[in-house]
Amino acid sequence: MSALCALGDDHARLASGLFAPAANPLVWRSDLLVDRDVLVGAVESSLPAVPARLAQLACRNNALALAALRSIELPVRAAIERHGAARVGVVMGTTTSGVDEAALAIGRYVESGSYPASFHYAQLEHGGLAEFLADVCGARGPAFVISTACSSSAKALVAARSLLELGLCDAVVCGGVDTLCRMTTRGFFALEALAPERTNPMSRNRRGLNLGEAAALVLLTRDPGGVQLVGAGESSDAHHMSAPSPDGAGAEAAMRAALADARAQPEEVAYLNLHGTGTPLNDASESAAVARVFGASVPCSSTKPRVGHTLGAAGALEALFCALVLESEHDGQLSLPPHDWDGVRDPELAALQLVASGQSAPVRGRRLVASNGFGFGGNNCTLVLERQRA
Amino acid sequence: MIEFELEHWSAWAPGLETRESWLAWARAPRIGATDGAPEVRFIPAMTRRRLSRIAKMVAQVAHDCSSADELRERPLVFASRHCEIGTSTLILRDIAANLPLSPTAFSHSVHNAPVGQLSILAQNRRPSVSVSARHATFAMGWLEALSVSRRCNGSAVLYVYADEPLPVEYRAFADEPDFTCATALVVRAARGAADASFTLRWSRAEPSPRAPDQLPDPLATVAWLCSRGAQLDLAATAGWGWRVEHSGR
Repeated sequence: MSALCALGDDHARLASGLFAPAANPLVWRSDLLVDRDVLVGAVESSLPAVPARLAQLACRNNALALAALRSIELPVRAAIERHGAARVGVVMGTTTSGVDEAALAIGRYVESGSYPASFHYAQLEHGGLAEFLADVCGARGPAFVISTACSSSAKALVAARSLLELGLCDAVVCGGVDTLCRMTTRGFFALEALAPERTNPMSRNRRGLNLGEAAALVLLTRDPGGVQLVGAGESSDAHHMSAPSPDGAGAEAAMRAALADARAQPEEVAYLNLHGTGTPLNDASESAAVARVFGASVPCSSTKPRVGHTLGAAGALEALFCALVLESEHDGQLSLPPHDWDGVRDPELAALQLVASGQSAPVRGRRLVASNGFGFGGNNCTLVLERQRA
Repeated sequence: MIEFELEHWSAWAPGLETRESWLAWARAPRIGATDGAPEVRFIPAMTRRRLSRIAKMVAQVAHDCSSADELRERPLVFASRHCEIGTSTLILRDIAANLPLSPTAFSHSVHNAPVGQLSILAQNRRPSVSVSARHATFAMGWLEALSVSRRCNGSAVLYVYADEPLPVEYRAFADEPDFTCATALVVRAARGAADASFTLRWSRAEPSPRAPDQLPDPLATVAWLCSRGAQLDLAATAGWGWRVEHSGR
């Protein structure tokens, strides 16, 4: 596992930022919206250069992927050596690819009729991310991108697991990458979904989301032990392109399917990572669905106040946060990511057990955690992770 | 190798709107006209007006190979290399000019917009996936459809592909011939060889690029289905690709 996000770019920093009583690495940026600043979760570390032979695919999104790959390069190389390159696949989620490079390039094209030499249309193609990663890591198995808005990389992990179960691959590099760009920032601004301050999920005062950028990569294998993806549930709302169904029926179906796939009861889940965007509609529909499935007994939190909503990367990044929760076990207790908000409950929302600073969860029986991801088009995906003994 | 059943198919391209027209086309298959959109008269006018050409093509081929019940109950897999690139390009032009964006255009520019709209039209609450993989898009969508079938206990999956030519702004980057076409395949992952008519096999392929007169994968697939050919080789990347074969049942 490997990730870069506003909290940092290595395991130790990610874990300390995730479990700290308070952490707010979000920054104000003036280059994304017109005539106003916006609070976002940005990756601050410098990124590696894309190899010259892949110049057509040189964009920030792919550079983030390359940076994340560095931390899992050795196990990926070992998998290729052990199984053969054709048995190692790549399944990634993205919604942005290199769209910001394309926005700059179109500006130049409109002015002068030609593109900057650095621009190529392939930077804008979602599929470019999988082709790029396959090329740099040497995998020659099936490689593709899933783009289902904010559930993209959750579904990429699910698709990767299917390649293992079908016997087509022995290892799959999977995850998600999305980059801060004017397209999504201005698009969510137009939808009136951006919070004017830090996002405040599940609060009566919630006013929207903060965007973020991230890359999160996992090498998924059939090897036993450690943290495993044991359950996945997918559903559609069939309601509206940019609003969840108010009753949360689609979200509920995804959570119930994931639990059934993991052969788990709701009360066995020690922690739920909420989609928790902080928009009025998401939080209303998600809290209703969570309350119906889990009651108010499962500790849950949104980690988006600490990293922003990383869209196509959110599913994989939040699955990785769930893995950090499982790996935090100490004296029979799991550390939990606090739910950052103003503490003002919304009487209109179903009551949830939102994780307080310093709260931990006792380990009982199976070590199970879950993560929700819901996207445009009413596209829902819930993952269940389990820590197993080797 | 995956064994599977292909239960039904349909296709749409400008001027090629019926099974008979495709069978006639398959006697001398070639890339045809790129202008025009399906009428989708089965969709209420209010909704129809809001659909892009890609979304209309997706709705048309889905409608042509499913009953209303099947369309509501089958998991959906959609694949497109460029998808709503026309809408995205208009948005990028607005960004370059610092104009405010249309919220509807933005939410309809996402890659899963056509399949999301299909799920809303059909009231389909099953899983839906949207795939892109540059030259291998059609083949990878097919694979994911079989994966979804497997995840859904062997349920038949509606696999829809649609693409149209790149907008004028990106013409200089086009690396495939222009075509406008949508296909729908109803596929089901088999439980074993006895249950399957076809296999999908990941195999070494010619590393050279496809010949310029070679049909794009979706059209090559329709030609193969019409002519009941023995095997179908789909576009390869980095020396590996899919081969579809009758399993000899």
